Amino acid sequence: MREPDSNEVTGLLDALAGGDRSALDKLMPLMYGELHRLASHYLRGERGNHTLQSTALVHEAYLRLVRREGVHWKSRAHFLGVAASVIRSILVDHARARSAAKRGAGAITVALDEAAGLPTQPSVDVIELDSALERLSRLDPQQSRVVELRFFAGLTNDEAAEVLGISAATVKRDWSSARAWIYRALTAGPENGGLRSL
Amino acid sequence: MEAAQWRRVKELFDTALERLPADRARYLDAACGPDAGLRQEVESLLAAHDAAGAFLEAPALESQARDLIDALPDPNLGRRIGPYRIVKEIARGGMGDVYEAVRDDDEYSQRVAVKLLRFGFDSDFLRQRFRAERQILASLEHPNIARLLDGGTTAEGQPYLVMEFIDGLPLREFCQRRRLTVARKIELFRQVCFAVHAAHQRLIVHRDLKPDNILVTADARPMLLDFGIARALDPDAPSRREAGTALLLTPAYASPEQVRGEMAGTASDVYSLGLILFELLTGELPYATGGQAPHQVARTICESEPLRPSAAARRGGNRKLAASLAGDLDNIVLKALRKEPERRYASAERLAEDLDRHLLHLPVSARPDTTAYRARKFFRRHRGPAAAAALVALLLVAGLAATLWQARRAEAERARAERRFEDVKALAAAMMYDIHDAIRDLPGSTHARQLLVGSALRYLDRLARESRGDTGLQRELAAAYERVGDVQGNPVLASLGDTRGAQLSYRKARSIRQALAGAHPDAAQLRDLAADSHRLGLCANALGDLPRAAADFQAAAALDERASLAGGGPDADAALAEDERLLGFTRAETGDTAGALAAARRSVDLWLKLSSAGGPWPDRVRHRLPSAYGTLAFVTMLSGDFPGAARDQANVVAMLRQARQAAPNSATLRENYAEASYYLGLWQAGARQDRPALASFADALVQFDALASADPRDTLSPRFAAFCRVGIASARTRLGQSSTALAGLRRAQATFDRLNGAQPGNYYVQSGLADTAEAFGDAFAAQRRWPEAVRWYRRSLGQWTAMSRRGPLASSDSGKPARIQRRLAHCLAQSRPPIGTVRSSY
Repeated sequence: MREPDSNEVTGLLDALAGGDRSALDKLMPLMYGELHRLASHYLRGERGNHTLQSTALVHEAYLRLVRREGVHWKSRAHFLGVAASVIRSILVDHARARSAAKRGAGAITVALDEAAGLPTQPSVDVIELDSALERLSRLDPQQSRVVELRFFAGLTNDEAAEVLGISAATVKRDWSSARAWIYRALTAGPENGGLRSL
Repeated sequence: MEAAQWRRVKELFDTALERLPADRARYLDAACGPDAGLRQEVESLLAAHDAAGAFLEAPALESQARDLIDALPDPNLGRRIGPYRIVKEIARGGMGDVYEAVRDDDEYSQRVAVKLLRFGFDSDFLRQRFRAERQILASLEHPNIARLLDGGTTAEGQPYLVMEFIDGLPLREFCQRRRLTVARKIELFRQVCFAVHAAHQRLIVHRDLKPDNILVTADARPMLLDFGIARALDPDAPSRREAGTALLLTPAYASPEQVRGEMAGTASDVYSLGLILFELLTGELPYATGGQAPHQVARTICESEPLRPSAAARRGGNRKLAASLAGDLDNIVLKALRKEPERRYASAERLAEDLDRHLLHLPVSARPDTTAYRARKFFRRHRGPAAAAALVALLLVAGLAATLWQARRAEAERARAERRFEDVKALAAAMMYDIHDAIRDLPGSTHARQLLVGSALRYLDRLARESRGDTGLQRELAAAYERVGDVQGNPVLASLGDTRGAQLSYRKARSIRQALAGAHPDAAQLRDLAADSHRLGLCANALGDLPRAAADFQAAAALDERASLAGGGPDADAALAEDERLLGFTRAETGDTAGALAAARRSVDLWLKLSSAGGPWPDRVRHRLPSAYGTLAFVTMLSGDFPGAARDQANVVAMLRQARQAAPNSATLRENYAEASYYLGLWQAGARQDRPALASFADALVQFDALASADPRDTLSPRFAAFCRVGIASARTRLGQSSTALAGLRRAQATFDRLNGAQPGNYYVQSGLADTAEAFGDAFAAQRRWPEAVRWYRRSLGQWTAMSRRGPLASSDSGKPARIQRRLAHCLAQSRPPIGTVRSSY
């Protein structure tokens, strides 16, 4: 198995930062493999005592793939941005692969937090979320990206702002209405969510 | 909806959100005007916002973690690395992934661990460096250090290292599974220190010590992995620059100098040992670095002061652990964790020595020599004579506290007085906790402990009178009353046996907590209040006041239920389950069988619900669920339903058997299992299931005999063993094998006689003698040896009569005398020989 070469990843990131969109196509599979392996490693229990921290995971992937001091900040921002899309597609692919029959209780199901045995926030049906995000991106692509960065890559408002090149206050506002919109779309059911007409 | 419309909706939503909820309608009236559709859209978004709670707030990988678990087949499995074939993955690390592999080119398939290195190390360099390091590492033959066996690069150019395969658990997991005490953990950790020291003496530094690099074998031998590897891989090793490896290290366990990229010597390993010890003792790390980016972690490590281990334990809610860590262990760990390498322990060996001194109650080097400190050490070593001195000190402290309180009331030098008041309060608490615990197990300390309690109560009563309005102080007071009550007479803890005194203290605590919870009925306050009612229920139960006990447990259950509804989480549910369990017990004894069954069932249901949650919680449920089922079985038995009781009890035995497989060395589990099997036998015998009963008693007997021979002072296990023998004999008699019953009964008889000498007047020993005699009678009757049967039945009856003169018989025994009377009458009728025959039946 070939380990992704850090120079290759860094080069692609630099190309992406320079506006070369085709670099993205080469970058995604490299990052996919690494993030997927990291995530399943975290999850398979060697570090099972710790909650899976997506931020830490993304940072670790970054270290492992790029591993170079002084990478241009723009490359790092691009990395985080790509990581968010990659994690989104990992989760969606994974959810699709699982039997559709297992779903059906509605878009939101209450999960138990394994670490504490405590009921926590509802866990989200990723496939529903994914299509809601698709619809949202038609209304406002930036808001869809904000959700992707915050939810899938676990970035803070400040980090998301850095990636998108907008202010943290805008991120916060975008997040707030996007979250409410998605929540409404998911609780209202997939067939009519977000399609109310004015 | 169009993008433009959405922009408008969003804008109104954002602005409305900034208003107070009450003002929103007015704002929307003005902003939307007659556009009802727009308004409805914004309002529905606002409603969604309010209902969304924490929706999407936790990042996906955290909330979706378990959905994600899947085993991607690892392409490395089955791959050949040099002469080794990879069998399975062991771990993934910063430097590379570790696999279990076998060497299958010779007849002995040797198991090894292969580490496939991740980054593009220069393979020529690596080979050279590896050879050089091999020379050094070869000198490092140590029983606690895993050996580096081989190394090279694969055909594809990927470098790898081959190490001795260690069959063990990572340090953290080992301690959790074995539930090691603090002292046992320290013993284990000291072995680690000695191994590190041995390496240091050969000038080999580990540089990446962390719990995952320490495996513990089944015979509790810690094994250090990866020794010398960081150095072997360091391109600048001769100049000892660390920057090259800094990124490979696990940042959370790196020392400040490593994080800064400075020289990492033996002192860095000492620092890492300090971190490992911290985590071993508290389950946490001294810095909260989780989720931080590496540069933030680095800053935290270099700049912030570490938490004290006892503070971490207290924050985790474990007060008892906190008390045992406060003092020496805090100081030892913090000395190892000093930012300046030269202020740490000079060697890992010194650290181990200090830990040893702590275990021996000798002064440790990690603490400034204050008088109080020396005194406390002296006190621990010479417990007896010092007890009196300590009491005098406590009285002084109590007086001082009261005086300072006055000073505080007078508001003279208020700030200073308050600070000193806090100090004195802390000192008083330490006295109450440390001194009491230190003298608790001393023979003859009862009087001293009573004095201690008396002083503490006077001090607390005085404070209580003046604490009005100070909720923080009131909470502390309630906790102190609870503590004193526990010492006086908590029926389920080792105590002074003064249950009435305990009841008074708990009532004081409860009335304080009632006022606190009345003002702020949140889950935590309700839980505390419920715990007081629970304690009072235990006291009333022990005092034989069953109606009051039932009322107390019911009150506790009602409060815990409120706490659960107020968001108290599984802790509240667990407490509720325990309230219900004891309520079931108590009601059963008052004769309220239906109420008892309902409560016991509820307890079982709650534990089942809790145990269906994932994570570490089931560990705590593991021993609670059986005890709830056991109560249900007992209550069912009292209702006369022996088959039902046997079914529930069979669950208990099955669960404990499973628990024992996970922890085969736990003496407590063994006791619980043995006892559960014994009761299963009893309920089965009651249900006339004689063969299963025989098997259950035999199972229990094996365990009790082993327990009894392990501890000669244990009087409970021999007693249970004797009861098992009686149960086996009775079952055999009923199965028509009475001739095999007698030997076991003779052994039971001998045991009960011996115990009767040691514990004269003990109800259970006395009833054991009566039961044995009855079983003898049954066995002889079955063999038609009537005169012997008559003699034993009379003996049993005489025993019960003597016992009932001393007090009422237990509810499960009360029917026995009448039963024996009937059998005796039958034997007498049989043994009256017809005229002319010889009395030849024996």
